[in-house]
Amino acid sequence: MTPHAQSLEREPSKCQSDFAEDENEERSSPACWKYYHLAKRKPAKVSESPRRQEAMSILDLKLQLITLSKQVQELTRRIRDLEDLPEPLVVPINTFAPRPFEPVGQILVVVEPVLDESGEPCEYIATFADGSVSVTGDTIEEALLLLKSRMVSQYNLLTKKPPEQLGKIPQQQLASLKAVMRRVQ
Amino acid sequence: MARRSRNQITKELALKIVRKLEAVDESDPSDEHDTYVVYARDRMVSTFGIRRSSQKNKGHDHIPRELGVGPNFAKLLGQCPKSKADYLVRIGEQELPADAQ
Repeated sequence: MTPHAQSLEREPSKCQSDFAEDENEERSSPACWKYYHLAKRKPAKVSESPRRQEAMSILDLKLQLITLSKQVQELTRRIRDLEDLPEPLVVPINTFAPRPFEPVGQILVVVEPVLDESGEPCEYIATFADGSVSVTGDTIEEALLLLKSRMVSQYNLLTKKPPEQLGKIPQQQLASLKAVMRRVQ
Repeated sequence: MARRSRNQITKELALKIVRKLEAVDESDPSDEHDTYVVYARDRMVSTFGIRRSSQKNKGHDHIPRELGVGPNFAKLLGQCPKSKADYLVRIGEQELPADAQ
């Protein structure tokens, strides 16, 4: 006997009370339980009849199908939720105007939305990852403006300090900033 | 991937981090943000920016990235369990104390 059928055998009262004894009510019950009733009928002989075994197998398959369809529904819902999430943007910085700096080559920064409880973006974090410079803004535009301002002020701050006074993070920041921006005379 | 939660680090918590790390305000008045510098033995070990806003719940989730630590560590710095010494060990600016090894 299959595991599902065995579990049903252990709790006959619960199952029997839920479903009708007579044929009319049996037709209105869920499809899988039709096979349960068929399977519950006493076989003519002491050993299980092939028809009963077949009915129990069908019942087991039906229950597995119900479980699988529920799992597919749940996975579909989760995939849809993931598809609805706003993706991070990679945005180039082409100018630092009006500040007296210009980009050297292409500067790519990442702008990530921060979601509120309802799943809508409420803030944006702009990051120049190479230089560990990051800011938070209410909009994408504000975050980008703040990031440019922060990169310039960080450049100015780090170049004012003697190199021996810079720790590991500031040293790496300065090297990254010097690689992507320079002061314009 | 976008994050679901917001404001793990509010401005209020960011200011607590400033106090915990004994960060020095070295802001340029012309900037749109305040710049705080963390020093250890006269060496600048990190800097981070704080938004100029009177709203205490404004998000500052960028601070962990600037400090070079994870969001949870940064939060613990502001809340209490983590100290400046823990932070310096985490970013490799200080060795673990002998009794902690």
